Amino acid sequence: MRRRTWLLLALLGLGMAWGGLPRGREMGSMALIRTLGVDWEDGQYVVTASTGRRARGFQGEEAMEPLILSARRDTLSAALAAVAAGSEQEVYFGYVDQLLLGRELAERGALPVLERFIGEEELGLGAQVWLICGQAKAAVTCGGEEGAEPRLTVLAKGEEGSAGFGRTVGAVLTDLNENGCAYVPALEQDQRGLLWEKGCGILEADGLRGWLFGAQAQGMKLLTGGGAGDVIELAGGRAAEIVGVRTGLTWDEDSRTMVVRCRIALRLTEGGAGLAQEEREALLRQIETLEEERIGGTLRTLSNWKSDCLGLGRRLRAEHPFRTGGKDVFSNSTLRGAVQAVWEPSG
Amino acid sequence: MEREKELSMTQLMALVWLADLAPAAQLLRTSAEVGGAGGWLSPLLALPVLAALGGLMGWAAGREGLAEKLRRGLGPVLGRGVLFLYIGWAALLAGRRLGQCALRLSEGGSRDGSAWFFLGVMALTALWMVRGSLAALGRTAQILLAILAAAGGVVLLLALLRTDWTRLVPAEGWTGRTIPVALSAAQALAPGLYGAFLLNKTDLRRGGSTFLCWSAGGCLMLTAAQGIVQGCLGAALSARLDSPFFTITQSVGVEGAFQRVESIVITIWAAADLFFVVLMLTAIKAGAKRAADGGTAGLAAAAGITAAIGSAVGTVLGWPAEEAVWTGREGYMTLLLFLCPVILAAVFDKR
Repeated sequence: MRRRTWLLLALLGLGMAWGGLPRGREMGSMALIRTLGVDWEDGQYVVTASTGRRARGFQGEEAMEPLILSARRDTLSAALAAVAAGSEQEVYFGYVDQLLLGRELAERGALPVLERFIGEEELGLGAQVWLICGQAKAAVTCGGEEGAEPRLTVLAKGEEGSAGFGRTVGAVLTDLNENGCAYVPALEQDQRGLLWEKGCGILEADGLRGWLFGAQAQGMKLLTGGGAGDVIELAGGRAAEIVGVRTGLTWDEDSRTMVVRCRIALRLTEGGAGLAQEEREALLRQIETLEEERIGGTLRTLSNWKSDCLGLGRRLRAEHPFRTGGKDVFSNSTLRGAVQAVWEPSG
Repeated sequence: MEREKELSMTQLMALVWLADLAPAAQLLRTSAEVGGAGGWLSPLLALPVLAALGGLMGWAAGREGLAEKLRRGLGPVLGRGVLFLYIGWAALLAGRRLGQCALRLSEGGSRDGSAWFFLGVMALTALWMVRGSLAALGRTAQILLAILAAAGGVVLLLALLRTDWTRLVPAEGWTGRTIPVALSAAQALAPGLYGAFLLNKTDLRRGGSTFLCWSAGGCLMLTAAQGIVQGCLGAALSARLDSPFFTITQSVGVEGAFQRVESIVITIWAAADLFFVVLMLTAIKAGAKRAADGGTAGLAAAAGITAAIGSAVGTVLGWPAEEAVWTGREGYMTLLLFLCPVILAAVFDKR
């Protein structure tokens, strides 16, 4: 027993001598970065970091303004280090939940920024990533006392009318590696500074392939199995809400056509009273035509760009390994969308 | 006679698998590097290799244990030399594992903690554990293995929702890479073969079937786990991450219940690293005892010095700066080390 005590004491002594004993850290005394924005301006990286709303006191009763730090350097590492050095408090990047990439940076190539999250001690692959149609710096600093983070969380999760189009750094990096490109949701700020969904951008390893806005972005949402919560406005003051989307892929070997099948479950939210069964069926056909056009437009664009960001070629090769022939099945095939709309049983 | 044995075969296998969970957490990186999209299959492909090696160890060691067999089969001089080699190599592996685990703990928990502190604590804990009874060690291993399996299982179940199975289909012409992929898993799990040094203290009734069940079950579970991880991250990204499994733990969570479980999982996983070191130290203890038996006191001291130097070298080389020199190679060495002398010893053993 005495020997063990000696051993323990010796260990503690050694630890103290080396300064190697772990020290406790108070969360309240650290600047926990929640939102990180990266821009490319005049040949330099501009990194902007925000803590979001901070709380002080025993139960967080005292609210503090977000701490916003920004630095501009030639390299990303130097800019991140300068951000960390620019605060009185210890800056901790382990809680970065949102990564915003500015338009110029995306066009120049966002891969170096995303790869920074691989093997990084603090930054994790679970952070949400967004493209900003403008400057990321402005987006990070918006949101007043609350910071940009609550709004971004709402947009990512699909609450309050947004359709939930969030993507993580890990998912984007995986797509870049597996498919050669990746879709990343895009945001833009209105005049008040509030962030809104604005379709998505197609990232490639060395730059931005292009943007999908409007109907094409809607099509993209459906193709990814998202879009639940979106409202489709129909003629005669009627409105239908998408409650669920399921996608599947079929392959016609003879015509070398990939057909992306989309099954949309809907609920008639307005103008549905007193509608006969035939009229309800007619509405469904109307929605099918509309959504097929949207999906078709998106698929045509992706095909023209040769951007298989949905991994359709990979999926097809996995499902029909002996019939698709070769790796470039995506670029050698015709793409078509087929939509089947159904009313949700209760609606 | 068998009742006096300290360990049951189940406990020995729990000890070996718990130790092997430490390198297993990093296995997908190597396997995906070697095998691309087919990398996740590596433990399954390695099963025949591991089962054959384990069977060979059982046959060679018999009821007397590997250390005794080596010394008797190869003669007092060569036998002792080979035992010293095993001791040094085990110490090297243990040191390397200690260094890596200490770094991971200091990075995963808090930047303020020094890796040296964790290194010291782990080393002393391992030494203290080896001093105790083998039976207690076996029981602890069973409990800890259940805890680690549960923690890993929860993480993987949550990750299952995000798994894209199409990322698991190997590319055409992949079959040519089957052997390197199998070896990538076999070499990572090879340190578990040091468990053969404990066979003389294990109750070997129905030992063969227990060994086969555990090997098959373990490899299948590991394959499934790797499938889920690779389905989430893809092979290319998995090959670039230090530990794809720990990366997955960063992004799973249940909204409102728990989030950010990586620190907890990394801390729990230190138990696997600790038992890896404990298994090596137990094997060193058994080897040193046979090597010094019937010899001078100097032999025992030499065994101790070999172990100390081995672990120091392993620790220094285990630091990540030198990782490029090491990744994977020591595993193949372990395989070779266990193959040649053991066969020779078994063949030349006259009794």
